[in-house]
Amino acid sequence: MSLDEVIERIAATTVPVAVNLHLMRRGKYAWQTDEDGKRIELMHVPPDADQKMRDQYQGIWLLAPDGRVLAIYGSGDAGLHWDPKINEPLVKDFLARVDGAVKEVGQAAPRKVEPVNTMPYRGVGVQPDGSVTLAAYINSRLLDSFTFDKSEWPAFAPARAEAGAEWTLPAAARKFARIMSPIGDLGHLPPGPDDVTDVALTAKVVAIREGIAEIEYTGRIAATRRREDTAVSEAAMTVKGGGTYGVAAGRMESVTLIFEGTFTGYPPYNKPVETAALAEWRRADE
Amino acid sequence: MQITRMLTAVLCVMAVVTAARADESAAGRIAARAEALRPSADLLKWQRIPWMTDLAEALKVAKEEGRPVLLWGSDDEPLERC
Repeated sequence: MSLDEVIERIAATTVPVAVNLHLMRRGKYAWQTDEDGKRIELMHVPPDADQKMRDQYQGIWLLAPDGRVLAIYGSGDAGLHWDPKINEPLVKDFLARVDGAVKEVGQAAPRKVEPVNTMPYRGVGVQPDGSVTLAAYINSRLLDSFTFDKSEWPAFAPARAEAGAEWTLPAAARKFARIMSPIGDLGHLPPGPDDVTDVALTAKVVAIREGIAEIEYTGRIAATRRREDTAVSEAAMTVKGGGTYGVAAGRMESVTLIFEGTFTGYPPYNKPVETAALAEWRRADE
Repeated sequence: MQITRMLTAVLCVMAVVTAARADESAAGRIAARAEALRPSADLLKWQRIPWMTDLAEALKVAKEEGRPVLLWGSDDEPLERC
C-alpha cells in the first residue's frame, strides 16, 4: 500500500473537510441556527461513545451525514501518520475505521473527485480586492501565508524605479513575525507582530534590465513572546531576498524572501534551534 | 591621455560586468535557497485530497452522496500551519 492509495481511498469514499477547531468551537462550523433561532449541532458525539471519543482534541473525526461521530483518529494514534511507509499497521487501522464508517453510512459507490485549490491566491496573483498573499514554507515542511492588503502591498515596490533607489519597509517585515516559529502547534504560540522587538527591512533597486527593476531586500527581525506563566519564547532572523518590478506597468512581478536564524520555544523546548523559512509570490500568468 | 581614457573605459566596463555577475550570483543564491526551502512534492501530496472547508456544506454533500464526512480538525489552519 502507498500514500497515493490512501489519498485515493479518502477522496473516493468520504467527503473530506478541513476545519480550524478554534473557529468551530466559536460556532462558525460546529452549529447553525434555524429560522426560529434554535441552535442545531452539526457534529455530535453519540451518548454511548467511549471517553476517548469524547476527549479527542485534534485529529480526524468520521461523521455520519447527520453529524453523528462514528469514529475518531486522534493525535494519540501515532501522530496522524497517513503514510504507510512510516507506519503501515496504523494506516491500515485508520483505513479500517474509514471503511467501517462507509459501511455504516450505506456503502456508497466510490466517486471520482478532482482536488480543489482552497487558496488559489496563495503565493500567486492579486486578489480582486487588491490584496496579495505570500506563500510561506518553514524548514521545508510547515506551510503558512502572509497577506498584504491593497494599502500595504506597495511597500515592496520602489517609488522611483531607478537603479540605486532605496527605501525601508519595517511595517511589512513586522507582519512576518509568525514565520520565525518552526512549530505549528498552537500550544507553542508563534510570535505575532506585537511581539517584535527589533525589525528592519531595506529594499534597493540594484539594476534595471529589459524594463524590469531588480530589487534586493535585506534586513532582520527579532521577537520575544511571554506566556501567561512568564515562560518566554524568542526568535531572531536575518532577511535576504529579491524581487522584480515591471517599470512600464508600474507593478510588482515577484518577491522572494529568505529568513534564517534561531528560535527558542517555551520550556521544555527552550533549546535554541536553527530555523529557515521562505516567503514568495509571483504575478499570475496573463 | 588617450591611454588613460581607454583604461578608464575598460575599468568601467569591468566594474559593470563584475557588478552584474555579483547581482546574478546573489539572485542565484536566493533562488537556490528558496528551492531548498520548498517542501518536496511527496510532502504536499495531501493537497490532492478534495478538501472542503465548511462542515455544514460537507454534511450536505455527504447526505446527498450517502457517504461519511472525514473531518480533519486542528488548532490552527488545517490546510496550512498545523
